[in-house]
Amino acid sequence: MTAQELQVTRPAAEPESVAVAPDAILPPSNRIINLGAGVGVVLWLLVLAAHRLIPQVGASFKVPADYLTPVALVVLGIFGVTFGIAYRLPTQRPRVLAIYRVLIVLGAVLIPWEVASRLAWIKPPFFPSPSKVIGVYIEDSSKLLLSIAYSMRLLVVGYLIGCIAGVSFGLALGWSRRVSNWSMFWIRLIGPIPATAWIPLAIVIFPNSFTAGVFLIAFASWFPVMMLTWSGVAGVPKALLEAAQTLGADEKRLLRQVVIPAALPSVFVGLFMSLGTAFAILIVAEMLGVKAGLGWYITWAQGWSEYHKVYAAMLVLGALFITVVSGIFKIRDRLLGWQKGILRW
Amino acid sequence: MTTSLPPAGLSVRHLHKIYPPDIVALYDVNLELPLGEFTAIIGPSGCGKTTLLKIAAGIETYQQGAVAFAGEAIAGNPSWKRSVIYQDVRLFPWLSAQANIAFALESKGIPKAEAQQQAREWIVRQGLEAYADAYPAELSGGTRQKIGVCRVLASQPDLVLCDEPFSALDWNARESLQHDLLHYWYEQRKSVLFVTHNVEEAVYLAQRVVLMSARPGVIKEIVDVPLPDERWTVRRDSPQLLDIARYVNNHIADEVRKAQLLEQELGY
Repeated sequence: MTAQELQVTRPAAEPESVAVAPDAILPPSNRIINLGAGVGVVLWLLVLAAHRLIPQVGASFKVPADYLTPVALVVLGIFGVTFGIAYRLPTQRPRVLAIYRVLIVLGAVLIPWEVASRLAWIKPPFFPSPSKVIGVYIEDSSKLLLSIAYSMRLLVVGYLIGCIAGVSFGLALGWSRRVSNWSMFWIRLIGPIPATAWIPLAIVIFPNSFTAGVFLIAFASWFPVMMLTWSGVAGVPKALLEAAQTLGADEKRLLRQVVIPAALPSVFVGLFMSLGTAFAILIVAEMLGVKAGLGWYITWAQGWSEYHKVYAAMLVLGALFITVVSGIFKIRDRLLGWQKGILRW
Repeated sequence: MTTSLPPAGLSVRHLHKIYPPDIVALYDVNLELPLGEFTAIIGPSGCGKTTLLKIAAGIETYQQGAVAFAGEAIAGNPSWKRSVIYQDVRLFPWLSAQANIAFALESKGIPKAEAQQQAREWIVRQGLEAYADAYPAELSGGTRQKIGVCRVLASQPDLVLCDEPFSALDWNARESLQHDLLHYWYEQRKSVLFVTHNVEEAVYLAQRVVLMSARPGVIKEIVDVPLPDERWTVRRDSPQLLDIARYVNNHIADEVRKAQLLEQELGY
């Protein structure tokens, strides 16, 4: 068939190209920044007003140290500084807004708390005033810091041992049929026993409370890490294994360059999950009689009915958890950079 | 009688493959391919051509028969000497484009530094420098398969097994990759076994086209393609090529009809 026989239609002219603006992500507008700063400042002024203007019902002779006023002033200062940054450096606006959101919620919680405390609707020692909780960080800081150090030592040692054991067991189970055939029954039996149920045995076996605590935390983190490593290995696409084999990869290369990278996303889910368990067990383990530690601190403070210390230590635990988790996320993002754009937890 | 036979390439004798419980994928398949031949296998879907290729690669088992390449029994042992270009590419998503090629070279036993060097050269030769450090997820389908083909050809396998490698690609990418494969074959004179369902592609590429019939998979006919080895000089609409393609097409049409009837009978 020649061109003459074909019915050919051609457009008269090239359609004019339409200029499209590049996909710029616009920083949050002035209005949003102003609104955020405005609401925040008003809320924190209210916090300050409630604290300074409402007389304390049932006040004792001893006037407690005032820690809320300096905190409120610092927060107001932060609003001032970040507001300036938002206008000087518009690219920093998303960060500034993130700070605003946290401070606004904190202010909104503090107002009713402070009012209720001033009017003695809630009473110490179980429900102390905000100022009293803040004061713990200043008055009891050395004991608190020592406790953080002890807790972190116990947690890190136990969690690392548990994770290393979990990943190794998981790989062995997923890779070797013989290993899984022989150990399957026992793992199903022993794995789900709560770590706390091991306490009586741990106390007897281990020479001191630190090693017993390490064992309990390691045991608690071992099981989820192992199960998810295993399921990650089991889920390695057969197509990729075949591809590696037909390229001539031997067992060692298959394991190190195909199985482990493919299982890694699942392994990280296990690491994340077991961290929560590890924290829970940490508190229990520190009740076995250690010299210092956050769990110990909480129990000890409760014993003296110093509930403000209990709450202060709880907040520290939360902050520690966030720190450790974001550390794990950093490692994950480095190792799993190839997953860019794939949906993640 | 002392006729000098060409050295044996892929040799398949009385091969039977049954997928339990009762699907006969291959039934008494016999195939002798001379070393260094570019062979295409064509047939309707479900005729067992991919199964045959997998058995040749050593990643599929079989019940009966003997399969060997260059006199060496295959018996379920994959090796870089019999490498596969897959339709779904199968790059390792955690390795960059260049690292994927280096993986193949290292698996062959080439030291790490040298493997990187050679992988780099392949990337440069293909004009893909810009994508050397990109992960597969960041590449287009055509580029991905280009890397996939480089990965296989880089280790210079003696038998290149192709499982419909270009059928999911656009016309441009397909043509350029077909020519890459042809040049490899032409320069190295290694065996190529190309499974496809595209008749024109089979005739354009191969020296001989093996026609397979549907369930059970048996070899029906082998068609010679008397076109010059420098296939890239052959026009795709040359009358000779079209004649052969028409002949093959007619035979395939019979087989497809038979396969469809059979599938209706079996209630698929």
